[in-house]
Amino acid sequence: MRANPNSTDPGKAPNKHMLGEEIIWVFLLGDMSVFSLFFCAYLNNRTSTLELFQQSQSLLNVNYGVVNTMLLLASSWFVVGAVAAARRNSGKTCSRMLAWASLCGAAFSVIKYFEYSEKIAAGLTFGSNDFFIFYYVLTGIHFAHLLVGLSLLCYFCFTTRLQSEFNEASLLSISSTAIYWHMVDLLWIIIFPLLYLLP
Amino acid sequence: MSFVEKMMTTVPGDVLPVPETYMANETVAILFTVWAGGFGLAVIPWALYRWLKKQDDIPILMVAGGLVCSLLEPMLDHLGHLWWPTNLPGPAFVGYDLNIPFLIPPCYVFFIAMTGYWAYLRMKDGLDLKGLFLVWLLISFTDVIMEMPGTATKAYIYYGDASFKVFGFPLAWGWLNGTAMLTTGFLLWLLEPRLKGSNRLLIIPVVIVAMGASYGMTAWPYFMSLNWDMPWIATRLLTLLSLVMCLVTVRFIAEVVVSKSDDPVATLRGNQATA
Repeated sequence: MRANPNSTDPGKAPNKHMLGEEIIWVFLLGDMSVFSLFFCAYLNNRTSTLELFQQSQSLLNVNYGVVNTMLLLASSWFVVGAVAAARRNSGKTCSRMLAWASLCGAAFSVIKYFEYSEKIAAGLTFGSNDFFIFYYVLTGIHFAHLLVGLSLLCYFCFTTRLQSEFNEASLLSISSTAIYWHMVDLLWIIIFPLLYLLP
Repeated sequence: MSFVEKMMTTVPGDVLPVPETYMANETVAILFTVWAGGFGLAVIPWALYRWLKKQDDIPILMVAGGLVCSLLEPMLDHLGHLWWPTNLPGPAFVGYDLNIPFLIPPCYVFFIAMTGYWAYLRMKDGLDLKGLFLVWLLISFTDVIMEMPGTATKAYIYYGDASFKVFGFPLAWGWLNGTAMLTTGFLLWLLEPRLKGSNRLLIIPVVIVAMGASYGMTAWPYFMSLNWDMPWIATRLLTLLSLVMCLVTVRFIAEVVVSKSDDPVATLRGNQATA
């Protein structure tokens, strides 16, 4: 066995072409692989019990899904702005952009809370049928990801507001958080049509 | 029953029968297997890439260490009152009369070995006291995120009256596993620079040594609370004691990691060479 002392540390950005830390990309690709398997399992079950899935899907409120999609897309736009501001060493703008992104994330959480409450009140719980197992697992795990991302956005929103200069390490941390947030957004963009829109 | 009476009611820790008839929903069983095991499988191509293309052998050795470390699972499940339904995909192996499902070996690869590896990278970059506790908190949270969907959806069960359950998940496992992951990272950080040539294979047992050591240091009060006959209030207090033991362990680790020493082993010996 050998260790190359010149090998790039995966905890650091290995070259200018890769944004964020390599290890974050590994985590994200692992996460997306897991979700891809979830999506395959969902499509497989849906094909075999199409009628049940269509009936159950019609009980979902598409409006909630549309609003949440818009909120996440907007939040991603703000996060891009925050990273650009950090690169310009503009702490105030970066913090403000992150505050807007956090607000979008918080609004998503509130809507999700109402959506879950409505479903549970209507007796549509986790054990109702296979569609709702997938509904709660996919949206629930996605929601947990969103809460982690939201905590990170809030953290950087507070820590960057007085920063007038961003060193390499803090740029790397903000970029890694941004990448994570975009993944949360991307996953939702796949979950939304799968659960709410598929004919 | 009054609260005081409840507090003093003896909880029979050693006579719990395992819920052997407990079965998971088939769909949930598949989804949870993907969730808990998928990350570990997904990381293997990257570990091979690091080894073969970048000559960085640590990730692949940690993957191997994680696989070996999964052999600890039935012992911890037995002491920690965890039951795997027999209809989960598997078993990967059987120990202590427990069917350990397929998801466990890859789960250890990611949630013990690779999170430990991430903690090692953070330590290598340099951490202050606050940073080290933040790393511990984050990796403890990864365990909660991984396990809670399983207990909430009843893919598996922590049976009996374990303390501080949220959605069926006893929070103590979050801090116990988080400390085990941090200890794994710490031991790797301590030893890796000293391992050359074929000695680098010793990175493999780092995972199992660190996890075993961590559980020995921190989990004994929690396992006592589950397996001894004692008043209900004592089970809660002992569970909190396991949290205190975790915090003490993290503080011990911090003492060495944040010392900015050129040689952490010398720091442990007491003859610190500050950079």
